[in-house]
Amino acid sequence: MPNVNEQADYDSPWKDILDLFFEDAVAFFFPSAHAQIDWARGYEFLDKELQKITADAALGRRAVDKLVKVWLKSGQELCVLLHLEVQSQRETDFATRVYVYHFRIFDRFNAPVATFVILADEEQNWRPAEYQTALLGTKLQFEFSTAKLLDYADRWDELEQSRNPFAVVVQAHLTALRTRNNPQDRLQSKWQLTRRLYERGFSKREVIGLYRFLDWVINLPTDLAAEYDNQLTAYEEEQKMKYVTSIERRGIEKGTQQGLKLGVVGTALRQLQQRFGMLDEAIKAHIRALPLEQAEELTVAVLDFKAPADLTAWLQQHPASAEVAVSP
Amino acid sequence: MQYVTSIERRGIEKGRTEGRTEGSAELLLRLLRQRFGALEEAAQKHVRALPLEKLEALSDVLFSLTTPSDLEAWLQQHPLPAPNSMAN
Repeated sequence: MPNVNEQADYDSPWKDILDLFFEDAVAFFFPSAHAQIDWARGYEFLDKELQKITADAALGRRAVDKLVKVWLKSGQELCVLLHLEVQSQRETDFATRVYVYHFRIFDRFNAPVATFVILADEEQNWRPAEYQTALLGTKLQFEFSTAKLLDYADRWDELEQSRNPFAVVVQAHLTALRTRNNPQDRLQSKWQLTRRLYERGFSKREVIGLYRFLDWVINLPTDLAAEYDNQLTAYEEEQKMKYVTSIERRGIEKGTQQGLKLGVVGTALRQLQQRFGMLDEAIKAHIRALPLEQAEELTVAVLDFKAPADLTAWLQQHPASAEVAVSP
Repeated sequence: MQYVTSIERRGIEKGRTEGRTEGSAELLLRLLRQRFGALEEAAQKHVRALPLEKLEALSDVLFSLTTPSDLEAWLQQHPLPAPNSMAN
């Protein structure tokens, strides 16, 4: 079955999809807020700034934050904080920390802040929405907007018809949770969602962005992943829409470069072992880390080597460069 | 860490296999030219069409080939698989 820990190493697909379709995310989850923003005026990501002011107070281990400057139709400028939480934070004082974020942003930018929280966790009843204190006559009531992805399970038909990329994101997320222990169902559902990308009339950019997310969130065991890939490439071929196939082509190009290097290094190592017997690990590592042309030079130079000392001398003149090492 | 999709991984694997074979073949040709001077067109084609394991075998015996006819003999002992008419 898919390895959950392996998947948890990359939360970047959530970040990527929010970067790619930020306006769509606001439209999908918070439509009335979306209607008040002047999108024609553009918006600006302030994520780097956000990292600086919240470095010591991360909201969750598996969370994504987007801080964006937008303008309302009234002309008012404000900051939008969009926080997505992958795991429930029941044990922490989540709402208090949302308030701390909110205040730090307000303090840093000296502008009003609207805070939106997307809860992608699996606990039906975890629904933080406000923070309040009242002490000695000082009162604070802080409320923020939330969207709980689990709630969309009842609105499947609506999601199925939607042209908003985030309808697919939510479907994919819910499918990933629902089919966690049923690989065959998982494969079928993943394939159906993928095929619908083409039928809904999404653009190439949208299809590729959504495919990357789908592929990550609905991860499959290796054999079923291969079945899915075959189905998808055959379908693209048949539809004459080679969107995802272009990703494979890019992979082939990348792989060919790595392969050329492996072929040359492999030949160099075989030649040397043929001549001088088994090589030290350190020498092998050095050769693997040579740039491609130098590995070729070495293989030609070996023809003239008389003794292992010639190899040592050659390597001393050609230091390894760490960036080009390719593991076999 | 950036997520790499399964299709891109598949592409990378394909590319690596192709590149590895191509890299070995081209380097071996260079070594052979170094030893024997220019090679026959047919011999070059033959080497380029060898699968990786055969290229590795050739690489291992390279030092024991002393004349162009040694190479020819080796190639004769390692014929290419008959071309598959279904492949394009």
